[in-house]
Amino acid sequence: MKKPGNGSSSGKKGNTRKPKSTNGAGDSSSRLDPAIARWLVAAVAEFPASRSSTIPMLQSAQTALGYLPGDAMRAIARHLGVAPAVVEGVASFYAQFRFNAPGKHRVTVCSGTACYVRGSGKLMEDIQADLHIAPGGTTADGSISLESVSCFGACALAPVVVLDDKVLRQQTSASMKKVIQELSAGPPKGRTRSARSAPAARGARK
Amino acid sequence: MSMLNLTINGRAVAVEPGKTVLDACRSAEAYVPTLCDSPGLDPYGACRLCIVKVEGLRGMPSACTTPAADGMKVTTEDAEIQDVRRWTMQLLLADHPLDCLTCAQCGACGLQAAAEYLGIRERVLRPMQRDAKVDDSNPCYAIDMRKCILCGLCVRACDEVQHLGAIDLVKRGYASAVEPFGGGPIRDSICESCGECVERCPTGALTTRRYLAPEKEISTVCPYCGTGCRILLGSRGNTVVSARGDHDAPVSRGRLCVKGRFGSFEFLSSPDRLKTPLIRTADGFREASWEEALALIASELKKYRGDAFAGLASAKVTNEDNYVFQKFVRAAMGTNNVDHCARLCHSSTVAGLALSFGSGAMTNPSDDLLEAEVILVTGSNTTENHPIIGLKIREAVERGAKLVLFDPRKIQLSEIATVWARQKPGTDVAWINGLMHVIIRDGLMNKDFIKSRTEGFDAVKKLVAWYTPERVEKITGVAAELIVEAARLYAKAERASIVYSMGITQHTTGVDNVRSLANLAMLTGQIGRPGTGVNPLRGQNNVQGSCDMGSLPDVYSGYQKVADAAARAKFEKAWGAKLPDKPGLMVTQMFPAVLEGKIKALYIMGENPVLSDADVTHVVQALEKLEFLVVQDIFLTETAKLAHVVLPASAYAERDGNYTNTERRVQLTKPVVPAPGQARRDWEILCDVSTALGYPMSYASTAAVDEEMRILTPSYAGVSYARLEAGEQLHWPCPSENHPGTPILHRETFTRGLGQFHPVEYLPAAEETDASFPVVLTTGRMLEHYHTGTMTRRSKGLDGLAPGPFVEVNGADAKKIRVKDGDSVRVTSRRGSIVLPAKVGSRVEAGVLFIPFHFWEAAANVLTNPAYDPTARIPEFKVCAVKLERAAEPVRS
Repeated sequence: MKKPGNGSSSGKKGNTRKPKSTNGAGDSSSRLDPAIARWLVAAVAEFPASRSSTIPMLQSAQTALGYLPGDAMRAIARHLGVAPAVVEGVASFYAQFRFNAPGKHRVTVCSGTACYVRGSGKLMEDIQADLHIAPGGTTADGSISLESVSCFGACALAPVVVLDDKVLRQQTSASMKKVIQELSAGPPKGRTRSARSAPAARGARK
Repeated sequence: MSMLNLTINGRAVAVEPGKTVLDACRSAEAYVPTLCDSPGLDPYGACRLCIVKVEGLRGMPSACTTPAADGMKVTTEDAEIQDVRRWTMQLLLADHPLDCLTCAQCGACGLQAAAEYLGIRERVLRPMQRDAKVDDSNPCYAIDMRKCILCGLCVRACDEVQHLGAIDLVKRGYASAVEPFGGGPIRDSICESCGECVERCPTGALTTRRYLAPEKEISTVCPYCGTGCRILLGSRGNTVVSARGDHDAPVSRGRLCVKGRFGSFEFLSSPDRLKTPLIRTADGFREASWEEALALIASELKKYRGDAFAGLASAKVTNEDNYVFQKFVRAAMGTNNVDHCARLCHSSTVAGLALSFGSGAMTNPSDDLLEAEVILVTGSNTTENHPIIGLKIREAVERGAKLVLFDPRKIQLSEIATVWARQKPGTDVAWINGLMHVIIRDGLMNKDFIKSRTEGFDAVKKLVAWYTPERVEKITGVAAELIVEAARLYAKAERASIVYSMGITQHTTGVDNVRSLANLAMLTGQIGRPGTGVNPLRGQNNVQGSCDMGSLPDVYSGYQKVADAAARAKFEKAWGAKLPDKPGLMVTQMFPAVLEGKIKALYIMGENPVLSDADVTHVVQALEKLEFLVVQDIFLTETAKLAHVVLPASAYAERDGNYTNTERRVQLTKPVVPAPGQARRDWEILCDVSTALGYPMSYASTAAVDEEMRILTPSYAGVSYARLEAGEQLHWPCPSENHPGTPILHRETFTRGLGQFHPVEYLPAAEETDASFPVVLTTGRMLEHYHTGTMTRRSKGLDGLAPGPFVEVNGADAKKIRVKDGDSVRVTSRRGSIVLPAKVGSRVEAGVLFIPFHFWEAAANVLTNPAYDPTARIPEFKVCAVKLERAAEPVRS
């Protein structure tokens, strides 16, 4: 059934004043994730409580938190005096905003013309099969997010995969399999080894 | 105001400035297809079907978003326009499932109508399948996004009408969809299931679960709270099959809450309806004829004439039914022992405001809230219990009004309050005195008003001097600075309105609480003008009317006192009977009197005290002890099961008559369908019973009852059926046929002359917490249900939304007894004990529990304290001491 007990933690439109309560016990803000709470304090001071702050606040939240958690959007709605659904409606319109925590590593496969001709389509399919996720998704263990980019601008190195901030040149399904294995396994015990030294990652930095 | 003159398809029309080209087209009776236009919503221009040509304007502007201008020449239809419209439609149809024949919206579909008008016979674009889920989580309505045309009507209805914003358009391009926040099932969202979106959806994307197209529709008054919304009930044959808002209704203007829209008609055709009289036998009930039942009642009741008899009238039946009921008790049975459930909700209002102002009713109409600068709400969970008045508060706040809320629970209004104070239950007099202290200290009182319109101010001034914000903080738990801020907001506003309900009245200090609020309004002069006033929201759809009709032990209709010899003589003459001069017993005195053997027979019309009264264990004992009990109802309620004779009555949609809403507005209704079986109108049954008892009563029609009542009741004298039928909106007092009615009371003078200040000292609740019962229990209603659930729990939609009892527990308290959300807990008071699931959250503070009283499985009133207010005799439903334990046994279901 609908939850009268805790189903109403929404902000409300049209009123930009936050209610002052006798005491904060049980106020949803008191249970906020500390990272969101820290961001919120600064954001509320920085952005005026008007609808035109919606996108700047969303950008600020994503910069600070890496993505837009529901609680952050709720907090924005509350500050702006609009319903949370309105904030989500705006955010979901733009490709720049993400709604799930990104993985520890980001694998971006170029699907531009040159890379595609050199086999990035098949490469992407194989990576998806290895990771069991679609582009835009993150593996269940939170280690890798997979994305695609239309042209990375390093056509001479095609097919290109970007791992975090590092460009991997002329990748094959087999070389990527190794990269992914290393990333998923994490650093081996006793030695810290960065993904950068993976065998397939010999490519020079752009 | 000069009108704008336009030419539509060569026809001249004049419209008011501010109207759109679409409005002008409609004035000229030119059809323009639309999908995203709906009454009461701002123009949006999403569907692009209302495009027209305007001479001198480039292209084809949408008529709905183009303001009408003087001299415009508009063409609504030519080959080029139709061609563009057809392509627009083809694009909409490309991914629309063409399952029209089996679609719930078939025949009422805007898309279908537009396609038909445009002559579209086939889909010309490559069909696409939209990958969207059906969300059937809400038992009242279903969402099928495959049929959505993204017109945005639902989003705008939720925002502009319901002032909620539960849904919005998310994503973009082909992935666009309407979703609640977070994208989960709608039922887990903040949606209030009002159904405004469903009613406006042009396609089958939003459909009510139980819908049949009606044959005809008749407007009637909603059977639930006292707001007075009107519903268009649709019927087929003898069955009500649909309900929607009546856009011509003065109070609700088309809006309805979940109860009105989804829960107002299913119970009418329930198989459980009483259809014949029932007589109790050794092994249950047997059906009987009216003759037999009436003969039995007459022979039994003859033995109990006088004060051994008592009657309970009902706030759910019409004014005429109530008038006849109290006449029957007084004239035929010779006693003033007549009362009804108003005793349990607002008797402290009737008593308190009558003492302070001279009239115990809401002072201003509910639309006045839109004119208030500050609204002080206390003890009213308005958005759940009077949802349409709640919408007016939300709308007022959206327009810039400030909301000051005193409520111990984290109710929805707390989200939009400027000041929200969580007082400890039962400490209302203290904070109100605190507000007055600050207002006097800061010199914010209205000295002219106090001097010219009131008396007794000095005593109040002296008393509240003690109530400094700091002392008040100690008593109430409300921070001193909130008291100061609330006082200043209220006093400084040009127009400030007080709204309250049972959080104020249902206390042993109920009358004190009400009089304190009256003091506050008089101190600041916030009364007698639009946007001000002291506004008790009455609970039942005709509780105001049943009080007005004299279903009270001390007054005849129009609050004419039975102890007043002149009034009594007037009624004795009119009714041709000797009437008792001593006021009778109130509800809360009747049941103890039964147990003492003073009352031996009881006649109950449409009430269910077994669930609704405080300390129901004693109520049941009393009912079982009665020598004779008659219950007249639409269902075999928990109370009716204890009766000797049960009589089948007609329900609200099956009878005619007047209802007086919380604003004192009298509204006439007509029957929509006939009553089932042998069920009859309450006043007809009462006339037959009375006649059988040797006091003949008969009326040709309900109107004839009204005629007699008006002659005897000055405040209703001018409220005739003829005027109401002509559409006049009449608020009593309306003393003559040419009186316009009185929407705002106490304008020039108070009803009693001068407003009476009355010093009120704070007294703690009758039962305070102690070591054995350390937690405060407060009770109330919830959005989806009404009272003892007799009607709402028979609605699959409402029952699906709120299927069973629960107790709201603060997370901290739950942790102490190791209970999670949904676990069973036992709540015990000095009077009884119930087991029910815990709803763990932050809605109540630690040390406070809340239980809705709708559910017989775990009846909150097993626990409540029957201690009552000394004047109004209203029980203290809102405070009792309980203990909370983890329960080993599972919850009964």
